Amino acid sequence: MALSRPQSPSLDPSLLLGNTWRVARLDLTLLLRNRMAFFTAIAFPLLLGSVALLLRSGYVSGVSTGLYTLTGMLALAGFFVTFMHLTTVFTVRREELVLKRMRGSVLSETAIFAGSGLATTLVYVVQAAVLITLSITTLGGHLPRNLPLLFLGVVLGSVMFVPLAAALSGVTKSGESAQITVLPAMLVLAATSQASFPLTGMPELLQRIAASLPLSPVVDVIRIGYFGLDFTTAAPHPELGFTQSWAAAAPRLLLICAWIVVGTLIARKYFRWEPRHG
Amino acid sequence: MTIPDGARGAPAIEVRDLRQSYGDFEAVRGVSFQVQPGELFALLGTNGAGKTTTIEVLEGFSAPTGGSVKVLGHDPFTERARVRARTGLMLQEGGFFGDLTVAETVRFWRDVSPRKPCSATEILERVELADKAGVRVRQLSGGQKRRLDLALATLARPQVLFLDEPTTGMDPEARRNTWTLIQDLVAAGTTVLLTTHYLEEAEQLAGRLAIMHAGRIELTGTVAEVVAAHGHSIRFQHPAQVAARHLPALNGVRPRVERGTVEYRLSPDPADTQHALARLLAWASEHRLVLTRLEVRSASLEDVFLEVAHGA
Repeated sequence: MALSRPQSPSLDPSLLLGNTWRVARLDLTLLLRNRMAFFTAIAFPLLLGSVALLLRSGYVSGVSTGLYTLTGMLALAGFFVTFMHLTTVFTVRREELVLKRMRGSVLSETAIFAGSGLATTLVYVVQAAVLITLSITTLGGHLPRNLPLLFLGVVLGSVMFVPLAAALSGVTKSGESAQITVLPAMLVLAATSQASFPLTGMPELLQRIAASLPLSPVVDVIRIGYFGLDFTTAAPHPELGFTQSWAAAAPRLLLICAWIVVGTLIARKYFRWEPRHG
Repeated sequence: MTIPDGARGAPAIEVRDLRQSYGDFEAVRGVSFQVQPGELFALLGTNGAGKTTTIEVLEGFSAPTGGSVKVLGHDPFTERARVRARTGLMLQEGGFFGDLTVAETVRFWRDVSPRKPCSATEILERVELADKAGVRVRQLSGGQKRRLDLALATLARPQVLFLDEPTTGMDPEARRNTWTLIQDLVAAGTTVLLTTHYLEEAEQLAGRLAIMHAGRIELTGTVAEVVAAHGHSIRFQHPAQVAARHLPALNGVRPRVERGTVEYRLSPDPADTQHALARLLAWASEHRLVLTRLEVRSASLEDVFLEVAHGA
């Protein structure tokens, strides 16, 4: 069943925005109440980021190991808070017919997805702020050289994972199995995104493939925004001015947008609203 | 056996030759009916008869494979925006955020609703859940969840209400109260399409009803019309001293003997029934028989339902 084919309710923009915010607020309430969701989406990404605290010495790719790891974990946090969490949320809500009730109401399909995406994006932004504060206070880091770019990377990264989560939930049978279906994606993306280590030892073709997978451009944009260095080129990364950093990040931002489009198309094909017919 | 639809106006719900398939399976095979504004129409049928599929098409969850449906003059699937704000629906089961409290659930759905005729407290009082306002939804009993579902379906005072087995799991008192609530809504002009397994519920509430079987409507009309079309029956305990083949025919009808009971199924004409009864009593007197547990009665909705369900 397609995400949207028929005319959807709430076409009035103010109603759409209002309902998106109401769904987001609801999702935040539920996220804080469910222990498993709280751990997966909030606590675990912060724990991951804290790993960087153990890596205070040495350099990777021309920057300190701790900051390199922390910025990578910052990108990876989006995977957990949005992709992993929403895959489970959509699957469980389908199983429990919550999606059916939502779709049968005045809520538009856009508001349903955008609301859930907004909630996880807000959580992710707060996590990013916490991790950046951690970088400054404990790892000798600094404020991001291009804060708007880093912010855009965080937001777009989160938005990208919403349709991808919807698509994966479509082929996931139950809430329990959601953790399992997400696992291969997590392993592949974590290993190929340079979130924790550079891929310079990998054959060039594989490096190119890795660079085009969803998490890689998010890692690059966040690092360009944080360090003000061109992480789209091999180390040593050239230093970039504010405008130059936007130009360097542009192709990676476009790739994230391309993944948003691809994810939406896949979700339209595979997403199911209810267990029986979809 | 079809009784025509009721008086025709601009129908609130119009279904024409609806067909719905899932793969090779045809769940609904050419169903047609109309529901007038302010009418309660019940869809009855065994499991798998096609009731829920029909109601789900009307709720706009899926486009029909064939035929057409209109709710308040609009296609509920392609014109959702026009239909959703004016309809309420009660799912057959589930659909709740288990970690929300009852009050939070009502508040959320009231907030997203474009019409807010009453407060969350009033809504909960209406379905007698005010004392459960602070309880998490997952802790409610099955019947309490049904009442919460009804509260959500009616909170915006919809023009058309779809109720899919609304009283399943309710205790008798809650069921009676729900009936009263539904009757009040209908009296206030709400159009209701109801599916139920409880025939008593259909008899109590429905202005008209349809009995579905294997994806088709087999019978439709008012309860009185459906039952009347089914005729009367005379029953008594099979006298041990008379072989079944020696029982008399009444008005040309041979009896059925099952589990020690003799049954004659007669036409709906009372004069025929009276004549048959006189003939039976005369035969019993002639053979010096006492007919124990003798009864003459009109068919019940249950009789009609079972006959349709068994494909009679």
